[in-house]
Amino acid sequence: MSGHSNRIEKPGFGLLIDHTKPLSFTFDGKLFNGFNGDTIASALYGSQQVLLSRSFKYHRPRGALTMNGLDANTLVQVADEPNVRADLHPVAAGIAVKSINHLGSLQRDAFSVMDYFSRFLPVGFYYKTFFRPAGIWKYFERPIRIMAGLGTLDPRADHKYYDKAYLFTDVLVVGGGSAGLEAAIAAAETGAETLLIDENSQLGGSLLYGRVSDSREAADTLRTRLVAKARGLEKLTILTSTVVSGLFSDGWAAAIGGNRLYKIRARQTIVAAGSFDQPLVFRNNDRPGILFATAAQRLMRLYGVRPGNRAVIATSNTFGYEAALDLLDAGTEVAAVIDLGTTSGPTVDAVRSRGVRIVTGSTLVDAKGYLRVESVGVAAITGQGKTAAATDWITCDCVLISVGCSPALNLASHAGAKVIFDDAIQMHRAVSPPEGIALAGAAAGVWSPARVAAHAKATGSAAARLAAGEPGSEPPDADDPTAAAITHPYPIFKSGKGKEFIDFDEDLTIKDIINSVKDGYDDIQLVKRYSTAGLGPSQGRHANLNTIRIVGAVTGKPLAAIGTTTFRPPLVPEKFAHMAGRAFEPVRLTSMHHRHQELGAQFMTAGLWLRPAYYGSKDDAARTIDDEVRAVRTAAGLIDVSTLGGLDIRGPDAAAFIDRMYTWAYEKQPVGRARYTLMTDMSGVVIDDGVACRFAPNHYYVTATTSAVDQVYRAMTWSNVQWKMDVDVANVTAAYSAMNLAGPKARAIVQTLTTDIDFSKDAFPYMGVRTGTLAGIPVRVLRVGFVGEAGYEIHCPAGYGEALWDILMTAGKPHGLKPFGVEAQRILRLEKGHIIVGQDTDGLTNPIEAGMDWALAKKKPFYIGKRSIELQAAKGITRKLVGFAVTDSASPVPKDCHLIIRDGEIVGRVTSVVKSATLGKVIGLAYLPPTMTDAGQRFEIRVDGGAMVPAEVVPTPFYDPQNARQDI
Amino acid sequence: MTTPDLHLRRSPLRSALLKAGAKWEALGDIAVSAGLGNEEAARHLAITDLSPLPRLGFKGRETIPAMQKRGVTLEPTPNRAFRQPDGGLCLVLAASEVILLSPLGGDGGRLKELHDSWSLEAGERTYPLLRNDSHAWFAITGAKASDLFAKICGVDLRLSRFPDLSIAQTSVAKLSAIVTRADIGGTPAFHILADSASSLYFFDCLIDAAQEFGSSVACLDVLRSLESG
Amino acid sequence: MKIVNCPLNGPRNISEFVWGGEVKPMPDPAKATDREWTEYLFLEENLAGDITEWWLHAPTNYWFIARRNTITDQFLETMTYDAFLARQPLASAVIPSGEAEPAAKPVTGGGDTGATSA
Repeated sequence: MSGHSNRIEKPGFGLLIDHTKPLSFTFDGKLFNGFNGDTIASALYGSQQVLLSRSFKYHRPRGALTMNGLDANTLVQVADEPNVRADLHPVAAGIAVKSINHLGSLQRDAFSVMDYFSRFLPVGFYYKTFFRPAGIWKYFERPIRIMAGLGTLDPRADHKYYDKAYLFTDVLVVGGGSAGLEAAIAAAETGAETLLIDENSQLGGSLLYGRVSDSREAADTLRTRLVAKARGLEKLTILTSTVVSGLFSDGWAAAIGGNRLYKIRARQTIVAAGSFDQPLVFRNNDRPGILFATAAQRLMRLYGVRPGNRAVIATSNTFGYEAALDLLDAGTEVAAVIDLGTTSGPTVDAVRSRGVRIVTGSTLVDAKGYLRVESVGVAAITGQGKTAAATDWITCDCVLISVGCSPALNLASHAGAKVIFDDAIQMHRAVSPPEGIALAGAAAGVWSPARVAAHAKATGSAAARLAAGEPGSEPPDADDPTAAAITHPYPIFKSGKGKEFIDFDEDLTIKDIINSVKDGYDDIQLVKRYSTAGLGPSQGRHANLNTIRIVGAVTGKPLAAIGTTTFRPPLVPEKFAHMAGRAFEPVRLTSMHHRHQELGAQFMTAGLWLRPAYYGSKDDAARTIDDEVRAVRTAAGLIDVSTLGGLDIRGPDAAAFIDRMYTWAYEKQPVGRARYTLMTDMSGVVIDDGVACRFAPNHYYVTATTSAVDQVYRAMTWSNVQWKMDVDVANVTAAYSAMNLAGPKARAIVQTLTTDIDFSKDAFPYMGVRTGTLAGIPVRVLRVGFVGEAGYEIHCPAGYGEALWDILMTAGKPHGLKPFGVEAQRILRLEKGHIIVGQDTDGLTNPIEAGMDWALAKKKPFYIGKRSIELQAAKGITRKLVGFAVTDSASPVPKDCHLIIRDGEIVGRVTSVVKSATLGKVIGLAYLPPTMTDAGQRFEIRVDGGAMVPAEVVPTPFYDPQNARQDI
Repeated sequence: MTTPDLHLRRSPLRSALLKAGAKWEALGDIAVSAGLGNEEAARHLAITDLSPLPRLGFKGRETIPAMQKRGVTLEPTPNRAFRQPDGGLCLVLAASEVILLSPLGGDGGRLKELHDSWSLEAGERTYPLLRNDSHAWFAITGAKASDLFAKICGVDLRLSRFPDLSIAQTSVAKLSAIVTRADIGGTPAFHILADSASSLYFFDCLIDAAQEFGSSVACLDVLRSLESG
Repeated sequence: MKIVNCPLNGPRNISEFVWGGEVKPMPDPAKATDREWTEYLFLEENLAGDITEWWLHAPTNYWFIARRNTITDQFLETMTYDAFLARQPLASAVIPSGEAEPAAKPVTGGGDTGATSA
């Protein structure tokens, strides 16, 4: 255990911690103590460990700044989780916390030499340095990444369970301080379902640690009253420890609480997110121990931690004086209050009456001490940003800063509110927020407690009325004269040499901003990008306003004319895990899936479906697939084709409709017959194929490919919304299981089953279709021949799929029936020269190129794509799909997409290729120029490694060219 | 008692339900899970597979008049459900489509009657669809049902905003689904119809999302007791 | 996330919808010149301002028309295709020439396609 305790043992301090529940944890391997309710940072501070991290660029020592998760100084690593904000993350017994961004130890960081080389790290360093000579960046990138990185990603880390949830509300209130509470209560009491979200574990905002009219008790009483009231309202839902990180259109908000991302839809949103403290910019203003007054108040009131033994306060408002009273109450000596102006009033009198030295019209200009502040230099202010020399050095171990605030306008800005600078209060304001967005409290520029309450109540009830669809009222008056006494107009004091930090995340100093402007980047958006001001984890909360002030000072422009940079979501760092959530990836299984598993199938994906690739061990895949092919060619095979799309097209216009959707002619197709279908899009490109089965004059059952059926269905319904033909189209893919029983023994197998279908050759010819029952199961049977053997594609309602599979497998066993998978089917179909749309066609293939001219109806007045195909036919084609065989059996087997080269030029491409055991050679399909498509034409395929494989054009089908076998 | 393999119709969920401890009872030509959950748990939050129960769809431009002609209780109001005299439901999905759900008792007689009264030759512009096979049917019951939906569905299904007999055709856990509120004996109940081929995936998603609220898997018998009070 | 008001299903997250392209009348394929036809296929107005588009509510496979402003990124209104047609007396459904009879027939509920997609 390190350091003696720094805890305050008095009532009114340590609201969140439980003194009776001590715990210990490690920081950089050393044991530290804390209490239940502590954050990592408060527990460390309580043990005198003020140093938390090293800065991004210069590796300067850094400590807590906001104690509210708003700065990058507190980023630590907790076990395998990088970039944890130590001032928000609850400490837990036994956790291992590590500091980041240093070489060696946190106390003695070897990279801290960077601090002395800062003149070699000017603003725009990367742009200026690594762009020449070309390629130099790749040599520097690795060491720079090592030096610049924050935290470590462990690729083996457990993903953990993250998820998402929707929330719906009439009124969303962001921020649970006094304004948010008042607004939420008013909205709920007006009758709106209201959701109040606050990032802290306890509601109350600044009431948790601050004062109301000098009085800590008044703040506490007000908080207790408001929270009790809020908790008692049935219509008010409260989420704490949750941060709204973005507001989007149509009342959409994203919020993160723990491992959950909330997606919120609100009719009205009230942003009562408070304000961000602004730093005092002076030499060494980043030393550990220098923190915002509110951070010190949080340490004391929430965690019972004394920020130091002897404090100096630099302020320009009463908040600084209030903090002085808190320090005194906590037992910390207040060495002096340095007032940048001449604040007056009862709070100042109260501080003075307790014997505290008050220095007016002065500022801090320097800090001494390295790992923690030891003393500060004080000087009189002589003009904007100008001081006399420091004459007064005050010893201290902590410095509290309260020189102004910037309203939290990020969320309102995400939603589309315009942000302007208001000279009267030296702060930004959101104007003309979009419909459904309102602001309250400090975010709206309202500060004094009485005004906050009145304004927030009015805002809350107005939002409730608007959410209920009632007319809105005039927005309540947000004009608050006390707001003008908060923010100092120019708390920026440049020293002769040394660093005065504007942006703690990015280690940017006054000089960097000045130089950005001098380098020609005088627009605030360009300054941001060139200097990187505001690009760090703090998102400009502490850097934006001072950057604008410096740009204003250098260019002589008024701040209102300079504008501001754009706020973009997320407000706080979001993890990829939050965005990913729980993965929802639907998997579709056919009715026979369990049987495939039992048969040892290796599965492959087809769209969302899982399909058996083959049945057997991966080690023996090639032989297994050949066996499956052989079974189909010599006996019988059974393949699950349930994933094929199916569409029922019914109604008087069914045939006419199909005629328009597909290229061939269907009006005269006899009932009980199937016909090939080819679909093209409006530009004549082949997009799908299948068969159309006519079961009745008014009923077609059309198949579509697995991956295209949804698109085909959409195209059909889109067309008929316009055509209004008397036809109904239904996608029945999931309703039907289907299996193809193929092979010379197929008929013998089905004939062993009880059926009302006549399966004899003459009664049920090739391309015939029948409906009936098979073994008691209702079926649609298609005699189609994708694999080139006699066979039956049997479709049945999906609930019966497994039973029918079982029945066929049992019936086929004496006949040598084997199940076969997609791999065997690919070989079988290629042996027959059948194309697969999407594999043997691409995004430009027209039917003529694909050798499908025969499927184009010439006499039809219209089908989708007709006009374009006619145009292409007239123009002539530049390639044609042909069959080929490799002529040298010793050469390597080409792969899909290997190129065909002639005289050093690419002239074609292989689309499918397999080693056919049936034929004893390597066969495939390829695109070739029309001049090279005659049978016997020889050409060369360039395979992996550059070898040229000789091949020749072979007419298809390769196997059974007379198509006799499918007809038996 | 029976086993699913003894029946010609089978549920894709039987392995998952078996894992949950299901026993089986025959219901027509399919086995239905039994022995899961209890009434109290179902009033809190329970997931029940109702896929074995009969259901039937009709689609086509004359669907509404065709159903009215056959005495189905309904109005031409899309996305509304209508209770039938036999305890079943008619879901009106569009001016051109309905789905009829059998009562929890599982009597498919009325649906069979409707199916048999239709013929393609009659030329009515309505066409039956095999909803037993295309869609799985789950019931989510209990006071916490909307909390579960908030994790998997982007539509506001809070009990106060999605009253009894409302229908939302939407996306649930990235699947197209028809969500119907039809309370059972005073207990909030949401019936989900979604792609049958994705049943296992969907069941997993429901169980996973429900877990944090203390959920259970129930069975038809439990819902029947809820119905009879 | 934006909300789209589906004429069948009411307001829904835009993630439930699929964009279907701008509404543009198809020239008569039998009469159009090659140039007119290819311009119809490949040239888009790409207008900054109010445009009329096809949108699909995917869970119900329901096609409808939306007017949208591409500058403000707002959905101005949505309507059934029939409602859209009723506003444009001159525009008509795609009626390829050479048909024995026109395809568009007055029917009841013609704008509603079937709801379920699977």
